[in-house]
Amino acid sequence: MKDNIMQVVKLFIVCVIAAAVLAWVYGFTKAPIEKSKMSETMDAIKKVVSGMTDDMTIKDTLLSVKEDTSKIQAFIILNPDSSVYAYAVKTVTNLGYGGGIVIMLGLDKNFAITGVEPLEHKETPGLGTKMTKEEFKVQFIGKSLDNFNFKVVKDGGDIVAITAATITSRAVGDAITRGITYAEENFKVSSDTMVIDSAAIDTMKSEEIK
Amino acid sequence: MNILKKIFDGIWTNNPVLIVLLGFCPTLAVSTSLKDAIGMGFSALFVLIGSNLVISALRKFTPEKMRIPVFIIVIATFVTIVDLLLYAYFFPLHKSLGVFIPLIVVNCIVFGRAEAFASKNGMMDSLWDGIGMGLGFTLTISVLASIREILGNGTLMGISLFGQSYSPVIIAILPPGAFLTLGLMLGGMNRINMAIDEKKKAKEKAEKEKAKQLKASVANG
Repeated sequence: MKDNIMQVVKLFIVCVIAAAVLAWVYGFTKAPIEKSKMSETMDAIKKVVSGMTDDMTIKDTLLSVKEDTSKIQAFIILNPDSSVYAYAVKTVTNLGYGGGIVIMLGLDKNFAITGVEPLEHKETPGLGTKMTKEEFKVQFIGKSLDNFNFKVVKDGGDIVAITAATITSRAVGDAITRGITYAEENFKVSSDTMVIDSAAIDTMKSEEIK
Repeated sequence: MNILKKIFDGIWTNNPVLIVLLGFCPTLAVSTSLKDAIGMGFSALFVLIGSNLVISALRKFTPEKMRIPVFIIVIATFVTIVDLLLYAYFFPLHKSLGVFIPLIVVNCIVFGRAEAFASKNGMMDSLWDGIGMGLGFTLTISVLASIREILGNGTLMGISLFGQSYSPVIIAILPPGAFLTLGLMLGGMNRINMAIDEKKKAKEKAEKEKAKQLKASVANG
């Protein structure tokens, strides 16, 4: 009996010490972790939105999505006079060959694409991963929902698919369509548009003033 | 001498992957590029050293029946530390190693050394055992990753080796390629060890023969 209690006490001591050590490490790594997470997003935004200058501000908002409850993260890039310069949308799809794909999409204020940057994916190395290459991404630049059908050629669209990775190409098209659609739904300024986020409301006001 | 022997033991004689056949999951999964493999190897090395040291220090304190939970807590603590440190200071590496860092908790090499060595030996011995085993794991996974990256992607450490005209053997970088390459490495290792054994035996035989002849000649003489 006494032995059993001693065992429990000893295990408890080990647990307490382990927890204390972890708390200490967590304490001093917390700030750098936040920073690297932030800088990853910022780097991606700078990649997809061309011609950004340092005096522009980036506003972080969430887009509401009609079909499901998930939210898409979006960023509004504002000129120094707080007019809209461009949008960046972190869009997702789960149609990838290896599951989910997260793409940072850059849109100018007329919702034409300025850049596409895959952030997270589990596509087949050497096949699906070619979507991160310039040769594939360049076909989207300057395209919008009006002048481009974001489906692969095989399905009657305009996307030139990656050889042996049609599913991946299709998924990229899906993610882009979703990103642009929701950005337009939320940001296109018209008097009766429902605007969800306060940041987006600010933007709308500044547009009106202009 | 003893230290060198210990390290050589981990790298070759008792190589945790190729001889003891432990830790296949990370070996197979994180060997698509040399950079990731080195990151995985050194993360495991750090965890091994840390857990070996602490478990060895706690070996008299730890009750026999409670040793498995204690091992798991110690190992999990070190893995979480590695996870947080990589996340904070080596973000790109953390991103590509992804789920495999938490999986070091169940890497049988770490647990195996805790149970088989660190819980029975002193701290210095356990430290060198951890370093030897960790280096053995790192080297093995690095060799495997080099082969797969060169064949399957035409690059090494992300640097293109053969130029644009090279068409990569994609299977090498896909999961089946990992099994094939590891199988060939196991076979190669066994072949070399067999050759060494044969040489040793032949030498012993020759010496015995010599001794016999000597005896015979002495008897005759």
